[in-house]
Amino acid sequence: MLSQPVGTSLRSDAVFAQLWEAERPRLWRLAVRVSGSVDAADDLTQDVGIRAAQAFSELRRLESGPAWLTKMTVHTALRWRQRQRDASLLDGTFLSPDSGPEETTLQRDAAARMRSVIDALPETLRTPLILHYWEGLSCREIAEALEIPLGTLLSRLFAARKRLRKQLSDELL
Amino acid sequence: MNFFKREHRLTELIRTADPLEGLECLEGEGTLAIPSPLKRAMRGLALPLMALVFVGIWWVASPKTSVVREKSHIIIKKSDVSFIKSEVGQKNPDIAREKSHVAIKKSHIVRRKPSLSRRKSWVGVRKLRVARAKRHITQEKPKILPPENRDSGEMIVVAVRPITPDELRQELQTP
Repeated sequence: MLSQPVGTSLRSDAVFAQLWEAERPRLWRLAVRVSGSVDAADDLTQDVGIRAAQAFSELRRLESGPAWLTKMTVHTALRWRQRQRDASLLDGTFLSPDSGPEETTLQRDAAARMRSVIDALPETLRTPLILHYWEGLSCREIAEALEIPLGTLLSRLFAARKRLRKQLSDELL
Repeated sequence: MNFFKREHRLTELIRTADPLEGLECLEGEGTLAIPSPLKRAMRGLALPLMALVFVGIWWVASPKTSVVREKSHIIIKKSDVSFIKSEVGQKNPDIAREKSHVAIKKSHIVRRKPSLSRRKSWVGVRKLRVARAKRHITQEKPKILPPENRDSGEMIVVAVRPITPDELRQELQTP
């Protein structure tokens, strides 16, 4: 684990390497979920790694390292997604990995439909939803990562759920 | 489906729509893989096991249990004291006998009190009996009957005989 005392200089490459190795798998999953692409997630994670290494000296508290990397990854993935949307390269189909044999067709269909509905949400609603339900981040962490007030985040989560409820009313009956 | 069930179902649906649900990132690689069933089972068991261990540790180390233990010790001590007392009591049977005598006397005093009330009630009963006897006497008194008419002194004997048809005819013909 990281053992650097708080408030000391964090310019050591070894400390960053330690932090990066600990957080890289989580950041890769986060990039996959936010961007919706496995191929892009590799590039995005690498990009985040390079930028984080350059800006690591600006980090004041080592405890906030994971949150700092999360924020950077979310913003990078969202920017990538925006570029794809602008260039009409985003085909709207989410990543659909080959699931286990025990998963029934019905469940797979429901999950695919939900994915498509979530993907159709505006970014302001989609990102908090993904970070909260898929990534398991707390509301405070998400608000910090997206740089929005907690109340705004909660109202966005509520709005996202409302839209999903409206569009999936048949399946919720 | 009620509100809470619907909301729960929605949350479940959102969670199952996660593209990385049930998949894990291979260490050092940017690829996905389905974890082995054993690993998944272990993951599922880890949390309950940890909770169980935590509860066990808490139970052993919590101040409440120590308080309970102390209380039980106190109870045991109290029972010891009462046992000793009873032993002491057994050694002094004379005192106990005297006490029992006193109790018997007291009970006699208590018993005397109702005898008074019994006497009172006996007086009441006697009064009742007297009243009943008086009533009986008044009921048995002979009634004063009207005097019989015994002046004529004649006895009327009536013989009844069936009437013959001829006699009946004669009776009818006579004016």
